[in-house]
Amino acid sequence: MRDLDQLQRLLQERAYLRGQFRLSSGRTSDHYFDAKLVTLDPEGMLLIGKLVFEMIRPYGAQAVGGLTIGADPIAIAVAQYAWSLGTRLPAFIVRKDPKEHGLSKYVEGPFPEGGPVAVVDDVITSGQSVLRAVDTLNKHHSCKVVVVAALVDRGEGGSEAIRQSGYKFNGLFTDDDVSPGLSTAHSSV
Amino acid sequence: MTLSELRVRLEAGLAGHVLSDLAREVVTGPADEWSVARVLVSLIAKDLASLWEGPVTTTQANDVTGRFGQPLRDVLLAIESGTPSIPATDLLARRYLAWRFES
Repeated sequence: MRDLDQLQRLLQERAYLRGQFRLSSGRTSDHYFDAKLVTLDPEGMLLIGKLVFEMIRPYGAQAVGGLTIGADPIAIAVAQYAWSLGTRLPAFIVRKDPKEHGLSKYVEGPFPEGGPVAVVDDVITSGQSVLRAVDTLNKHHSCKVVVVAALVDRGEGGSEAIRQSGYKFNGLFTDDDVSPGLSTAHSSV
Repeated sequence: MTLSELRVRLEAGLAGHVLSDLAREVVTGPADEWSVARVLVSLIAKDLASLWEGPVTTTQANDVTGRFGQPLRDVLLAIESGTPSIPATDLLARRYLAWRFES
């Protein structure tokens, strides 16, 4: 089975929850995508590391990260996979609020101040989480965000918001791709 | 983002993003007679926002909205208008403590 198909199967089987949910954006939905059930699974991590690394590789990022906590396991998986190929691509974590004591840092990790970075997230709905991370990186660290990548684009305007803000966006799957029993086509890979 | 804009957003129901914005914005004001209320709103909003780090059903969202939506808006209005409202702040604190002991 191809890596992409294997990851799709994992997401369908483990992460897709049916029910009535209110999302962080305030929108209601008849399903919820609990990506951490796969991004923190060892099989999922290995696949995500490889697939997301391949997706962001052409953009020349010097580090990969995003808003905690959704982005954390993805960034770490990508950094580990890159290292297995001999590429040093450090992971970083963007805090939702600056650390309140000590250095008051917004970003944790061996971070290339002012350098090109890739921002990742698990699920894109409104795009607010990713754009918040991007904003923090721009404002506080003068970074150039060369690509935004996500596992799932829910197709609710988030990817458009990211592109309209001037950033390149790539998603591995659409909402339908990871909905059990629906399409098996992949989005932008 | 003004407190007035946040109050309007809260009327649509509590959710992760608006609570995170509230937690951050409400403490940007000066240290004044409203400091206690500002800090209280910020800490409660931050705690409630953390619910949205996982799945939140509409039933759960409606429950926290029912408990905290109006008290949060009342305290914000009091801070905005500069009209002392110890009862509003007190109600918010009581609701939060009751919820913490339940959950």
